[in-house]
Amino acid sequence: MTVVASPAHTAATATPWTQRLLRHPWLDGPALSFFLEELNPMWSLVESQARVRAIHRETHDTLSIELVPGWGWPGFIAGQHVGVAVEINGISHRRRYSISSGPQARRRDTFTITVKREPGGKVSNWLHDQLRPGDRLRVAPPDGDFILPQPAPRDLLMLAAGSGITPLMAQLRALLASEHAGSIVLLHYLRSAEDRIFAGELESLQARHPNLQVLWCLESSRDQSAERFSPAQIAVRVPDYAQRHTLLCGPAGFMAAIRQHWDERQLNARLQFEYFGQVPALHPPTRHTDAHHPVELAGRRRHLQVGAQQPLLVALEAGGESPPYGCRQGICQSCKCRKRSGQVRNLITGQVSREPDEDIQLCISAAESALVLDY
Amino acid sequence: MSNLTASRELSPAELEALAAELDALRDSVLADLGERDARHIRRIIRIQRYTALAGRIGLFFGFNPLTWPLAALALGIAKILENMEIGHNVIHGQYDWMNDPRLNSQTYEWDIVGTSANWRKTHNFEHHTHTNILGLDGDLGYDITRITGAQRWNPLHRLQPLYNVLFALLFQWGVALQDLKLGRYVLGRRPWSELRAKLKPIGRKAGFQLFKDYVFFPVLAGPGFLAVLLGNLLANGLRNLWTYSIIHCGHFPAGVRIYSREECRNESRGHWYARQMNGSANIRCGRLMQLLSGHLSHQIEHHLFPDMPAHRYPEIAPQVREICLRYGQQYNSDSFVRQFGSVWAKFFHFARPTAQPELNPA
Repeated sequence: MTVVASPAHTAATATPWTQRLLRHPWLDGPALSFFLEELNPMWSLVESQARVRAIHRETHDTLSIELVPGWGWPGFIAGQHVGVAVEINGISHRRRYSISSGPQARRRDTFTITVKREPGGKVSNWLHDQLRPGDRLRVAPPDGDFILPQPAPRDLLMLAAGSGITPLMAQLRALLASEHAGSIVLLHYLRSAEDRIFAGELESLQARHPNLQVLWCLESSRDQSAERFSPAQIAVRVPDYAQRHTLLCGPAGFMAAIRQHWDERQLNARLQFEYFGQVPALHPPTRHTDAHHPVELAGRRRHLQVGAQQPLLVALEAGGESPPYGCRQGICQSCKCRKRSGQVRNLITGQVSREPDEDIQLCISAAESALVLDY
Repeated sequence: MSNLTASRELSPAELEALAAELDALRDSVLADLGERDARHIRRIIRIQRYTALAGRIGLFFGFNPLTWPLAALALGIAKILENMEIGHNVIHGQYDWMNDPRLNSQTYEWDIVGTSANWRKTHNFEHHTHTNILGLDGDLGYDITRITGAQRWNPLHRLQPLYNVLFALLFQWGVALQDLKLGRYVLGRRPWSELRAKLKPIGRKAGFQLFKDYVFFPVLAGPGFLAVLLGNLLANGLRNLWTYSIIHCGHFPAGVRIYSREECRNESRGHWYARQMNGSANIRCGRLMQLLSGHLSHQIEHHLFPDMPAHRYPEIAPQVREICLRYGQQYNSDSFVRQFGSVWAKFFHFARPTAQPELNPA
C-alpha cells in the first residue's frame, strides 16, 4: 500500500549515525560518502540502501519485496511505513510503502513491503516490472504513528480493504509473535477471491492461533454472498465490534463510511486509522470552493486556505506565514521548499508537479489540490 | 565575431515576443531533461573526486619535481571543477529535478571558504535578479572596483589594477565576505554585534576549509607536511585566479551594458531577458575550457536560464544567438584573452577620475 507520510507523524526518531557522520562539522561527509559508495553502494551515508533478498507474488497484482537494509537503518514498529526511491530517466521518484512484516521477522535485519500495481503508477509498475532479487533499492527510514498502544488492547478488530491490509498484517504478525492472549478479528474487504493478499499465511495463522478469526468479505461476488461494509453487515459479522479496539486501513471512501459510523456511535477513542493520502476532516468546517485549497505546513501543524490562482508565497504571506524568499520571480530558488503531497502548477512554465516529495518554488507555484508543504 | 553593435530599444510588444521565444526555447529543453543530464553531472562528480584524490595522494610524495607540480595542478583542477561545474550549477537548482539529495540546491555545500547559504543570497538572488543594475547588483565591481563612469570615483580607485591582482589571488575570501558589506560596519552604520553574528557561520566554514587544507592533510603527510601545505595553497590559489578571471569576463568586458534602477523599475519579463542578454558576455573557447568554466563561457545563456543544466548551454547557444540578433540585441562573445583584456583595460581606464563613456575597442 502506498501511503503519504503525514508530517504530524514525524516521530522523534534518533538521527541515524550515518547522517551524523555525513553532517559532522569536521568531516567532508559528501566526499567520504562518495568513496564509500564507490566501494559498496550499501555503505552510502547520504541515502540508506537495501538489497532485495526475495520477491514473493501475493496475488495477480501484488508483490511482497523482502529487503535487507544497509548502514544506518533504524528499527521499525509494526504499522509504520518506509520510503522507497526509484530512479526513472534520471529522476528519483519517492513513495512510502507500509511494512508488512512483523518486527520479529525470521531474521531481525530484514523487512518486507507489499506493493500493489497501481494503474499508471510510475513506481509500483517499475517495482513490478524491473525489480529483481539481488537488486538494490534506495530506502528512507520508517515513520508513522499507526502503532498499537502499549500494552496492546485485549480484544481487537482489524478492518482492511484491498492493499490496506499491509500495515495490519505487520501488526497482526507482531501481536501473534508476542503471544497476544486476546481475541483478534480481521475483516478484509476485497473485490474478489483472487485479490486475497496473504491468504495462505492468514489461513495457517488462523489454524495455529485459535484467538484469530479472519473473515474475507468479497464485494463483487455474483451470488447473494456479495458484501460491503455497512453498520448492519458489521453487526452480523462481528456482533461485539463496539467493544473492540479497531484498526482501520483502506481506500478513502471505505474509511469514510467506517469513520462516520464509529463517530455516530461515539467510538472514536477506540478507532485508529491510516490513510493512503492526506487525512480528510470528518466534518469539514466549510466546504472549500474550487478556487481555494487547504495547505498544511509540516512541522508547524498549521493549516490554511490558499487561492488556486495565487502564487503560494503570496497566499502564505496573506495567511500570516513568512516563508523565506528572494527574487519573487522564479530566478533565485530562495523559496524552494519540499512539497510532501498534493499538486501544484508552475505559473511560468505551466509544468505540473503531481508526485509526493518534490521540491517546488513557492513564488511561482499555485496550488491545484490540497497540499502538505515543508519549509 | 563579437557583435558589439549597440542593441536597439525594444517596444513592449517586442519584449513580450522575445520573452515568448525564449520561454519556448527553455520549455523545449526542460521537456527533454533526463538520463543524459543525470549521467553528465555524475560523470563530472566522479572525475572531480578522483582527480582530487590523485592530487592529494600525489602531494604526499613531497617536493618531487615531477609529481609535486602535477599533483598541485590536479588538486587545483578538481577544486575548479567542484566550484564551477558542480557547486555553482547545483546551487542554482540545475539538478533539483533529479530529486537526488546529493545534488540539492538548498543543501549542497561547496569546497570554498564562503558558505553556500551566503552565495544563494548574493549570487542566486541579488546578482541574478538585479544583474548589472548599478546599486543593486553587488557583483558590479564587488564594491571595490570602478568599472563604469557612473560609479563615483575616489582616490583609492587609482590603485584598483593593483588591488585586483590581490583580489584575484584571494577571490574565495571575497566571495565569503561579500554579503557582510563590511563598509557599513567600518563606517559605524551598523552595530558590530550584528557583524559578529554574521561572521559565525562564515568562520565555521572557513575554519573547516583551513583545517582541511592546511592542518589535516599536511599533518597526515608527516615529513611531507610542507609539500602538502604548499601544494594545497597553490591549488587554492589556482582556483581563485581561475574563478576570478572567468567571473570577471561574464559582465565587465567592453560593450556590456549597465543599467540604472529607474530603467528597471517594474520591468517586464521580456525586459529582464533583454537585460540579461545585454548585461552578459560569453567566452569563445573549446569543450575543455567550457567545462572548467562551469559553462560560464556561456554567461548569456546562463543568465537567461540560470536553473537549466549548464552543459545544455552550448547546445542552445546558436538558437539564443539567432534570437538575439533577430531582435537587434548584441550577443557579446569573444576569446578569453580579448574579453579579459578588455576587463583590465577598464580597470586602468576607470582608475582615473574621468567619467567618460565606456571604452569601445571597435
